[in-house]
Amino acid sequence: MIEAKNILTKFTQRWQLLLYLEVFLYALGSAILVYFLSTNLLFAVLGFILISALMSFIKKPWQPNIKASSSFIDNHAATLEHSTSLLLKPSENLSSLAMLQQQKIVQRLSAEVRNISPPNNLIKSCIVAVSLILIGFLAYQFNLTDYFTTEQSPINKKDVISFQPTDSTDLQAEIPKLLNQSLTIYYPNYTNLRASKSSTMDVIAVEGSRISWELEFNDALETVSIENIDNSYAMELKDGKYTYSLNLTGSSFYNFKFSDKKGNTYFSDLYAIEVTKDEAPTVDIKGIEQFTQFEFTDYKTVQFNSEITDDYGLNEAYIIATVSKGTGESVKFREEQLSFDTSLKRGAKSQNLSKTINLEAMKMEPGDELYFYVQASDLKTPKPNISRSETYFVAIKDTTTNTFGVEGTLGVDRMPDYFRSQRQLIIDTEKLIKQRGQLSKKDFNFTSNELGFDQKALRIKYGEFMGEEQAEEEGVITQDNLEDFEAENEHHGEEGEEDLLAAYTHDHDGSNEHNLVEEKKERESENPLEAFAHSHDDAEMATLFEESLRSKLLKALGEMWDSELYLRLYEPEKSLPYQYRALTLLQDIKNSARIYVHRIGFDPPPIKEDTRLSGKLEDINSYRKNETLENEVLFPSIRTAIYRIEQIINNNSIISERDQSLFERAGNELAQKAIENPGQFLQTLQELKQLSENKDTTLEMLRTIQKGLIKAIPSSEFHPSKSDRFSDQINQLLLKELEIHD
Amino acid sequence: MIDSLSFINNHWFWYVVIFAILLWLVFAWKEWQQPNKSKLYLKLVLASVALTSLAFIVLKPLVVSQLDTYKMVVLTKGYDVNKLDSIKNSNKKIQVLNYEVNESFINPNKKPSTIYILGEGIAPFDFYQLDSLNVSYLGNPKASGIVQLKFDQEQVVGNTINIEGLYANAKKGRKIILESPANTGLDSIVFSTDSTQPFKLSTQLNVIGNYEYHLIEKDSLNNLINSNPIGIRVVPESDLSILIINGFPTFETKYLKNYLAEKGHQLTVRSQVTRGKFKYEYFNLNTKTAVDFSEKTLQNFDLVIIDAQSFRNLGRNQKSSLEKAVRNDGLGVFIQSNTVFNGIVNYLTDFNVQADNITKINMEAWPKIGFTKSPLHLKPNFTLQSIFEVNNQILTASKTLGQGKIGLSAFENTYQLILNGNDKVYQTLWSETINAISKKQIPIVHWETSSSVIFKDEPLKFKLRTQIDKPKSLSEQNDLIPLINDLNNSHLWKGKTYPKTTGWQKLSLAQDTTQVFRYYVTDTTKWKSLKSYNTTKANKRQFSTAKAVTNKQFTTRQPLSLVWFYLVFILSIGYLWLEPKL
Repeated sequence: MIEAKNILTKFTQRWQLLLYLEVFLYALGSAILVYFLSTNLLFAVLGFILISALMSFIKKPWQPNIKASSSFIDNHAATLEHSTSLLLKPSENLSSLAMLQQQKIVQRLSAEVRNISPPNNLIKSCIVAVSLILIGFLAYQFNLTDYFTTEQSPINKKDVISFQPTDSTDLQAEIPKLLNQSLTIYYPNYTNLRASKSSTMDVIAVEGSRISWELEFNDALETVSIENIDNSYAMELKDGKYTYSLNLTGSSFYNFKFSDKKGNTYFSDLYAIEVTKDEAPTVDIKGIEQFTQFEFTDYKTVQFNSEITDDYGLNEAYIIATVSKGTGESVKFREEQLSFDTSLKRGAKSQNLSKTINLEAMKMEPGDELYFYVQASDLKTPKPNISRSETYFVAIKDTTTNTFGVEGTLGVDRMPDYFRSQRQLIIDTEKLIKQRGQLSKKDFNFTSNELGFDQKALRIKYGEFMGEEQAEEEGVITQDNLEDFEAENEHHGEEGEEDLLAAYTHDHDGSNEHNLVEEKKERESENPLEAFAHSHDDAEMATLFEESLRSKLLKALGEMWDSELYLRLYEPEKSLPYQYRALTLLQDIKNSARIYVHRIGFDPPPIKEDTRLSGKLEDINSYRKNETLENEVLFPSIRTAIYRIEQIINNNSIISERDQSLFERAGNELAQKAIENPGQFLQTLQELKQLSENKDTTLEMLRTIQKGLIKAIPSSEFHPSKSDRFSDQINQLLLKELEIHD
Repeated sequence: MIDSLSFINNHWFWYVVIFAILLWLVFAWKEWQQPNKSKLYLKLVLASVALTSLAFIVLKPLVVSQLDTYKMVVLTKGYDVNKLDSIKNSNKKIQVLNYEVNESFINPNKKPSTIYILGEGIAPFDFYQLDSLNVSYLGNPKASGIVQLKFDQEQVVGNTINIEGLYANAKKGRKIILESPANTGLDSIVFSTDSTQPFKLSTQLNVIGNYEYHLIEKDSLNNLINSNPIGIRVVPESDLSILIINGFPTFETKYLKNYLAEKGHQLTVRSQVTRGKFKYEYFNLNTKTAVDFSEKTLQNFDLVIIDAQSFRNLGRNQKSSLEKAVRNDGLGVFIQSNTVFNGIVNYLTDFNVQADNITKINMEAWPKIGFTKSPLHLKPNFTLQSIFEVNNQILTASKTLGQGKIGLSAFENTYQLILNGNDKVYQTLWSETINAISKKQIPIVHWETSSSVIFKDEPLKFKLRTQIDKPKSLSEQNDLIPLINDLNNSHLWKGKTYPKTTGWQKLSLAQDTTQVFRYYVTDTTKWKSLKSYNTTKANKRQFSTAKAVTNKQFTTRQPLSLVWFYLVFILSIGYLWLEPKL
């Protein structure tokens, strides 16, 4: 009986063990994965505990008890006839049948139990654990782990700051040891770069970054400071670590210096801070010519792509479009800011945006031009970098250009397009006269009448300048009373020539040519307020021209009247003299209205004729100038240092205080050059710094310093110089002989 | 026979002779007194014989005797074993000796009749040991490496040093690299064929000081074969004092003036404004000297640059004082050509020019840069010293007049070089011209050595020229070095010293210790091929093979053994003693 119970107990224990094993496998797999990823043992242990706890709650390995085991065995072994629970009961309480059954089961159980294994997912958990480990291993192998391990990275041996005592001779104590060093670069927020922490002390960071150093020593120190070329900043002690942070403004060099409690000072190598600039975005426009022109009939849309890239992310991009209307002085500009069809993803480093501009939608008409460029800004703070593309032009061709000559000087274009000048009229009239024989009488008369109309239009136009809207003067007819006049004329003509005239004219002559406005049948009486107003409309009071001009213009108008009269009478020959006179008058008016701009230029002083070419030189003085120009030698200390090093090497001499100050000066000169080109001269600068602080040095080091210094010196030029030549009597004799025999 | 007879106690000769004759006369007189005169003559003869023997015993006669003859082979570095074997074959008894520098190897009492030298030869300073010996130089080793070297040890800063040499039996791919003191390569040459080739390396010298440069030989695999040091001394440039005279302002002068003034030279410029009125410009000068062309003011200048027109218009007195300044003080005069250099300037000296209708040329050194010139060039002449030539046509040249020089150039509008950005070419053009023409400073002492490489512990022969009476030279250790005055030239002195350490050393003058000569001393382990080549050359010269090899017999004077004289004396005296007794 006890034996049977033992079997069940063992089975239960086995079950529990398997579950615990499963939990362990899961936890182990995860822990190793974590270790691979973080290379940190603490994380791995934490992960192990966490996963164990989690899996334990899921698997509950403590749960299976002896009852559960018996029911499980019952369910899985038919031969036991669901009677294992009998074994758990004390035999005293059992019925005889039950006891019999118990006896039977005891025997079978020991055999059956070997075939039954407790329920488990051991294989599955094994696979999971192995695959987790494999993933971790692969990630480690392919350096994917770097992503997880920025926080703690072991110090690279090469990066360890080496400190040297400034005076090695009286060094009693051991150099305090550097336990930990780190440099954290906090990039500006907009760059979206994570702060990077490293043990390398050379800094390459974008403008505006903040860098912070952290040094930990094994010993208490007096002061720790960071030395710049001209400044020294003390580092603060915080939790046993010396820290200092700095906002980056420009490239420079620095080194650490510390002094221990005993007063010994130590300095480190020189490190470079290289500040990179946040570049402005680059904007490229593609898919469009720099200058595009559309016909009026074209479908007027422009489509283009813009490629915008930036090194740390874009902020915004838009199109600045300018529409220009009109030409010359009457040009008008309208500026608009357009956005792209596809919206810009803020912070993206590279974007390809497209835009379709419909010129019609921009309210552009023939002759108008559109200038546009793309402007983009990046995320840099406080002042973003802004850059713009080249300007592109889109124009709609204007087929109807005004070329107008006569009134060019008046400044304002007030003439209608169909306007004919007086000169043109004269030419046409002469042409008509010439063609008299060839044309039919009807055609001739028709053309003559047309010319008459043109003459009238010209007269009315000039009349406008006179302000003679209501010309009351005798014989002067203006636009407004034209109808009356013509009606009158027609009236006159009715008697004999009404049909004739009607046959040759169609009603051009009225300003209401196309019956757009209902003709005024009656003219209202004059404005009653007229007497009280200062009216420019009055020809006499118009102030547009001065008096003489006005009279001239009036005369010209009178001539035009006569010219028109004869043209209307189909006698162009008679009208010609009037036209010529009108032209001369108009020419006069134009010339008088012309403005002359005074030329700007050299205005020579008046020549005094009495002194000119007299040849007297009393007032001319000899001129003396005195100037001292230094032949500037670049890098004098570097030059001296090169020779001094050569001497030290050759004579095995000791570096003196004076040499040290020379090397320091040479170092300062070199630093200027090194800032421009740190890669080339940093090493030399470091060594020079060491040499100027520490007298101990090796021959090789001196040679490398000399090498670096020589490299820094620009090549000099070949210049004239005084040279030596010994001369004695024999030389002179020889020269004399040579000369004689020359 | 008489010639071959001499005596050890030669100085007693006449005393002995007189004494012997007197003695004989005494003897003769004594014998004459003797009654028996039968053997008188025999006795007299015997007496003279005995006395002569006695005299010889006192005088100790020497006779010339022939020495034993033997031959000798001296083996020096790089000897040919085959040659030695063939010599040994023909002369079985020949003596073989290995030569060591600075050791005596000839026994003066047992001189060999013939000496054969094999290998590179013996050091020139050991030649004295072979004086009057019959020497045949049979060595002619195949030299390999740098065997000739030429460079100017002292250079002005900014100058380009040219190191020229000859590389014997170069292998293809072998390189010579000129390295700076800091071991950076400055210039190099790679030999493309296996042959003896000249080479030229150059570099610009930027920093003042005494430096040790190296000539490195590497094979085609960049393995170092040899590294030999050369000493180069870079000295600061010294400023010139220049007078520029112009009839009217020109761009040429303007740019030249700017260039020279910026380089710190003392410059006085006089350009004519109008008749009798001038514009004077003084650069880097504290005292303004009047430009009056007097001999005294001209002494202050090293160079006068004058345009041809102003040169012609100089007054008679001005011309004569200018000529005197050139002849006596060594003043340089450069005549600027104005647009067309018409005619010949034949004051002071005459240049012959030839028209050639070429106004644009390119120079070999700068093939891409065009130069403008007057359509003429200078006709070559014995006394004409060319400064720049193109296609063998002299464009810039100078002529010596007394101590000074007159220069002329066909180049025109050189300022265009500056405008085109070729500043360096402009500077080179003018620097070389000015350096060639301007007044040379006469040093107090002028030192010179004949060798380009000076070795430690080997004699350094130097010459010095000075006006100082009886100069005394001091070595680095301030020891006096004796000087020998040249027989014909009283200003020339010669000396010899033995540098004790390597590196930069100096010689100085006792009278004026500022007058220092610095030289670079190389270790004897360096420059082997050069040294060996020079030794071979010196040996060849010294023991020229044209000298017929004769078996010269060596004789010596040895004292005759006196035994015979004693014997003759005893016999003759014995007879004279015995004869009366008999």
